[in-house]
Amino acid sequence: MSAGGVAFWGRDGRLPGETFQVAAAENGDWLVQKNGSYEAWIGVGDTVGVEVEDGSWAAAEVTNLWWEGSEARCEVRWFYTVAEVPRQCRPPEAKGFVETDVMDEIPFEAVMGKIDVEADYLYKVGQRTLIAVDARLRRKRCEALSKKHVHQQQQPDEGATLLDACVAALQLRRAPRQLKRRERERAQIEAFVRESVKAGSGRIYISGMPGTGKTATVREVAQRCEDLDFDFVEINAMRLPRPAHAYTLLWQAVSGEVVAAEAAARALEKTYSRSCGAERMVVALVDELDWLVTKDQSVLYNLFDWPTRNARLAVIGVANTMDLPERLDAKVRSRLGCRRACFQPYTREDVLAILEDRLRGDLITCFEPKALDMAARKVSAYSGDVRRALQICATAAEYATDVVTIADINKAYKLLSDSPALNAVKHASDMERFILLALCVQLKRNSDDEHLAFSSLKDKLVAIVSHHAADKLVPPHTHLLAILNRFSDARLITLTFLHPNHRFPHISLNTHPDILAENLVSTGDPLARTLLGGPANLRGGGGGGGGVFR
Amino acid sequence: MCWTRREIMEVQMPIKERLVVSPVKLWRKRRRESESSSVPALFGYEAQEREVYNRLKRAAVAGESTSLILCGYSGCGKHLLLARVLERLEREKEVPDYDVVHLSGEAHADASVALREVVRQIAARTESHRLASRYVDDLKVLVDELHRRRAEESAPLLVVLSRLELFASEHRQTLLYVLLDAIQSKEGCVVVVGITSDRHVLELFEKRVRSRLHNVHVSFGHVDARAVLSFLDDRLLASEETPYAVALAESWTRVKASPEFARELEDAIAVGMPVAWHAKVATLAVAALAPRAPLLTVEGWLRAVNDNSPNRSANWIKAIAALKPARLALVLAYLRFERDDKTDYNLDLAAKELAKLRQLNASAVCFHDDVLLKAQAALISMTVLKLGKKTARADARALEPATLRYAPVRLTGAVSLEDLFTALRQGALDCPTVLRQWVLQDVVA
Repeated sequence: MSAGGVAFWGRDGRLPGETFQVAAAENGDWLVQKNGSYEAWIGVGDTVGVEVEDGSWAAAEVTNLWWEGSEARCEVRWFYTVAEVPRQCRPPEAKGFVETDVMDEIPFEAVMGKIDVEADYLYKVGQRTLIAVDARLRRKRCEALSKKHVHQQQQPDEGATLLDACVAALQLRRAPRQLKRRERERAQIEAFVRESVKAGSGRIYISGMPGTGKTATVREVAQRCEDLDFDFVEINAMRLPRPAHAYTLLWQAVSGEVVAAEAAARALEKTYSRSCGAERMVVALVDELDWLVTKDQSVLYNLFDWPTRNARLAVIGVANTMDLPERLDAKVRSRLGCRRACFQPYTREDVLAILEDRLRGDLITCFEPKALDMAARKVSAYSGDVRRALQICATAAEYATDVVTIADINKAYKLLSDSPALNAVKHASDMERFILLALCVQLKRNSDDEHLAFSSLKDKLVAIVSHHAADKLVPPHTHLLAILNRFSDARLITLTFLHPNHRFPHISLNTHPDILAENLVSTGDPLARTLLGGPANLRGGGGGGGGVFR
Repeated sequence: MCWTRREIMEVQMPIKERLVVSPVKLWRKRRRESESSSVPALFGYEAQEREVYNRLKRAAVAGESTSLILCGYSGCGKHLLLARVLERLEREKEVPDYDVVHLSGEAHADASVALREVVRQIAARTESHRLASRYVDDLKVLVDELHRRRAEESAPLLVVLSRLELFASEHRQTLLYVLLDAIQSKEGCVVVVGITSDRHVLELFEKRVRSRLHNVHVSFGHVDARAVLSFLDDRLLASEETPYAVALAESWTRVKASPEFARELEDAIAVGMPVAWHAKVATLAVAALAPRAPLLTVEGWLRAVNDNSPNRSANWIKAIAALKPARLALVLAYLRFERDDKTDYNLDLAAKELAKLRQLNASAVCFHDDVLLKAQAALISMTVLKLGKKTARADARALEPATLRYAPVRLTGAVSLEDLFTALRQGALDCPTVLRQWVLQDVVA
């Protein structure tokens, strides 16, 4: 295929008015032929001169080339001259050109020829900031900015082992383009998006525990529906300092303007009160929806009311709570509508399939089949959170030497589940250990009262040391207070003055005495075993973990 | 032997700098001056250093995002260890350098403030010439910065969150969510290191934030005596071999060999004193060196230990013994109430008891009401007494006389009553005999 246009080359701005021909070469570069004599291969990454509307030229970097029908088009990133950068942002030593973050699609016929450009700064037009950059990494920055560039997964280094490659493959950010085991939910959401875009409005509420793929599935559907004409905006309520900031983000998607929350709310109300609604269809993913709940629930009301006005707006609300709509006011609940999608926690088979999908090819050989199954069982039994499964397997692969076994999985699971409080008990000094034992014994004895008086603790401490560790000294008063303050700072205990007139605070454990007892006994301390008994004497229990946030 | 002041300062100054080091200031100094300054060594935490080093190196080389929590008692060396690891990584040519953003839970717990600070620190590093002005702009700057790092395959941005529990105590946990969410996004390129002394910090995390956390803890326990000695040797032994440096090293060896030092060290280890405490003792000992006595001595070291433990009974006894007569009389009156297991006493009751004593024994000093009121206010200000009820006024001297007179008080819990009685019996409190006998009457030895 070929196209024609005006050709130009050189840096001095002259327009010779010659014509050129473009032909596509097999390697993807395009050939510019001027009157059959001038030739230049222009490929992605080349800096070119581009003719602009007023007849002058501008420097740009080519990021993509493609044909649309018979028209050759390209995506470029513009360079500014230093004079075009606002004076207050301009450092005195900058000269020549600066990179920008402004991308554009232009017809290839506007490209006049290759030029050389040197730029040591990047000007971010939207933020009006200028930063010094490494010119050698220009191409990478370009790829990052390009909307059309297909980002390749970073390949592991040549020297990396298979286990290293497993760790890399199991990273959270390496989610596949298509999530496994969410086919039904994906179809449901895709149907919603297509219907909403066609109808010009729609509301759906998606619920599910953390790590079940809700947001990832919606993003995937938005990419699959690229053939439809709509803008996709993500509003994450947990990223906003106030719920009303959601209006700012939505208005920015609708109009491109960034204004304060109240002004954005007024503008959105005005826009969506018009009979024709907004100019373009917007599909808004509102993530962590429960964080938008305010006292008057006005933000939620508006976000789900606007789509009911034929406003060219569809809202997808996502949260963890299945019955969130039922907890809202009736007027908000009715606007949320009845359309729901529920993401169930992943089952053992689901988690296993996802892990196997990540560990494709040779990578799966690094794991014993039973090890992967064990990881899947542990995660599905507890939360069904696939993030946890990936973290456990990645951690196990970090510690494994050859092949990841069940023991590695168990070790990784324990490492990621154990509370740091357990380590405080394991590594306690002599006096700290006595104090913890005294606390535990007294609190287990007075199981009705969660507060222990300082004098009781001191008496018990003296009894323990004198009976069981006669070679050790009872901690002096100030040391005892220092240790208790340290425990309080670490939130192992809480010190509370039950009455302002008390000389000493009362002490309460921030974990159940049985759990502390279990941890003390598990350290192998014979005194702990003597005072607290073996595992058979401990109530509750389960695992060696701290367990305080099971 | 005599050394000149210059010789002494040339040896003592580097020692003092090594002892008093703030890793945060060290990072900023290194960034500003672009010269490598060595982070002092840490002992007893080799396994922890290895773990942190391996994780950060893997993240830097692979460009992977991750998170890490360093958890241990205050003063155990968490920040110092992190600074050491970063310095080691900087020295390795094949490892891309981290850019470090440091946030503190005390100042930056609010998400807007934190993001502004992140943008400011990034802008300072990249010589950017204008700062964003709104939260959404700040967020975009951070996202763009992470995106650029991912694109350029540079090292991730390292965000250090000191006092992590304060960030997690925020109602919305917005900053934590933003940073931890970036870990799992394709464009994110960030390593989050949380530093905390709160052993139950995970309970504070909202479930969605916790789901995004790489729950890897590096726990810091207590160091043993050998590690403490290695630490003190590293700080106190000068690298120079000047005559004074050699003499100082010998004096340090003598101090270490003394039984008193060994006893104090054993005591401190048994209590679980952190490394920072030992560093402070060494700092005080070195600071007390005078031109006329420039060498370390056992007495000097013990004095430094004592000064570093203001709440020791001996210090309290000394402070109470140094009280003015009216103040001491009140303290003894309250001690008498405690002896009789009375828990609700006040100045009025104490004044009446002192008046009764005066009637019984004319040699007892009579204190005017105004004097007792001033003494009471002073004792509350000095925290020898604690008020038994909350008042709106922070300064005891601003309390109304009626409040001062009738407000219930208690002797501070920081001092042991047994130790006070013992001191009284031994005559360490230096009070009139009549008062002493009055308090000790009916005391069971």
